[in-house]
Amino acid sequence: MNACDAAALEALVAEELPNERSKSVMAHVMECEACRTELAALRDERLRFATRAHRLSQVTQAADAATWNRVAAALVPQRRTAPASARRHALSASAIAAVVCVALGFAGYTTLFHHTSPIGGEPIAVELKVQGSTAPKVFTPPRELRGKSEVPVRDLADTAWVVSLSESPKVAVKMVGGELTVSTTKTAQGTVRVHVDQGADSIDADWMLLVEEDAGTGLRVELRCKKSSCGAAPSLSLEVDVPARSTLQLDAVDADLTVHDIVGRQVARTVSGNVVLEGSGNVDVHTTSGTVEVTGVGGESRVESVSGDVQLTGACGAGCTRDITTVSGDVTLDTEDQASYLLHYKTVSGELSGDQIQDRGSGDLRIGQGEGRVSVKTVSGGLTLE
Amino acid sequence: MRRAQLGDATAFRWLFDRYASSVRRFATDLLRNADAADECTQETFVRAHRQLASLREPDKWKSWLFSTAHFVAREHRRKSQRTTSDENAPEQVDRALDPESALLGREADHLIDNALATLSEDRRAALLLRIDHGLGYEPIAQIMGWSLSKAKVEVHRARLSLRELVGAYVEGAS
Repeated sequence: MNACDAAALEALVAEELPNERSKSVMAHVMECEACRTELAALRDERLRFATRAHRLSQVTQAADAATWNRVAAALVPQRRTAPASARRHALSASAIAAVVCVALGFAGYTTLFHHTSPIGGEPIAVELKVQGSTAPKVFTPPRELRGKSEVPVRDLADTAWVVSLSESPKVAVKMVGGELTVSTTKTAQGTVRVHVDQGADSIDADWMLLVEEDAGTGLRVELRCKKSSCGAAPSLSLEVDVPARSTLQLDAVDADLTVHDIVGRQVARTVSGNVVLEGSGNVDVHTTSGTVEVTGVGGESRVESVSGDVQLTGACGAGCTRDITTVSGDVTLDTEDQASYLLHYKTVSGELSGDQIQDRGSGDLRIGQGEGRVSVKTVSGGLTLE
Repeated sequence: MRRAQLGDATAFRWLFDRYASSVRRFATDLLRNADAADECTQETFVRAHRQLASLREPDKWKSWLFSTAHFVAREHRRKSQRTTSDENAPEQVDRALDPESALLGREADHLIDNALATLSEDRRAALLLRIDHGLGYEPIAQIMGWSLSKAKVEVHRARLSLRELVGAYVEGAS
């Protein structure tokens, strides 16, 4: 590069150049006054637009959420009218289910949810309940799940399964909309309840709820679309009771997650739902806009949030590490009497508040004896020590 | 991306959350009307969902999405036959910042808005796709229906115009 190459400079700023090419361009820029001026102008231009984009994205969050609701609503009739064969199939399945229910009564309906395979070990109960449905409710007591069950959400009535698990099973839940609560079992059996907060007529026939055991070592509960596309998902309230030493993998969109007293590792990923974790296991939370509350977790905690606020309470002392990263979400940390950790904080433009904290972009603090380690990094989110 | 193509609603919601703000900003900059941009954003994602399975190269999702947004915006423009005068410029309330920062932010945004408004719609779209949304010149050329060289020339001229207007303002203020 012997002369000022505007295209190369622009590609450099856009980070489109290979590493070696970037080095050669930068070497020329160091020697060329005109190129430095042009490069500064390009970077200034990029910064202006990036700042504008960031600011506008904050302003339009509510509008984007409202737009999503309309997008989701617009997609429902599309699926209902297009696949006529699928509709016939769904209607047939519903009709068959109704006939079986009528003909065989309670026990007959139950068999619709069963797949036969040997089970053993400690059982877990799963109860499903549909609220607001126009279809008549059918109560089903807990039963053993054999293999897996996959049923249309719109056809769900109150239902329960018993699933065999190990003492420290892997439990995976995927849901869209609604809320999930995970608690521990005091006995060998647990309970899961689902409420669908809308009428069956408004739920696409292709939305299925899968409940599956995994050879005595795990449990999977998943809301999923049977066909190639599904729009507005039904809002479910799901309660799952599992052994305290379970390992959790929770994935949710627009759903609130609450976990009580699980001591195994907990991984939660949400888009817009809130997350509340109460217990002592290691936690790993990723959220886009939902708030995150972690209480009483003394092990390893990692929380990443884009715009959701993060609050961590409970003693953090020896053996406790917490890493919190947000873009615009505010972070609140507990500094109660039992707290003992070293805090490192860094923010680009977030506000800092608390008796011990200095109003500057980054710093280190010793809380109590300084046995644990806490790191907080934000872009525009604030940090408060309480 | 592939999960969304297979009908995974969670994946499509993720794509929406990731790109809705950018699509809205692009539509607002093109149509200069918040309500029209809102409709355009909605329609863009509805069409994207319907046609997602036909996208053969998932890596080109972003340029494909913006191509859809550009097409929808042009459709909207033709139907509404609205002008691009400053009276229709979007009014957005800044809730996220303190009053002083909000004032400075709005001023900076209005500076760019006004500079963009002086550009022709096509040139403005090309510039925004390049600078604001980070698309390469080849996707821009495809979206705009131009040759690659024309895309580069149009973006360059738009950039010079923008720089001149913003520079004049900054110098005047100082």
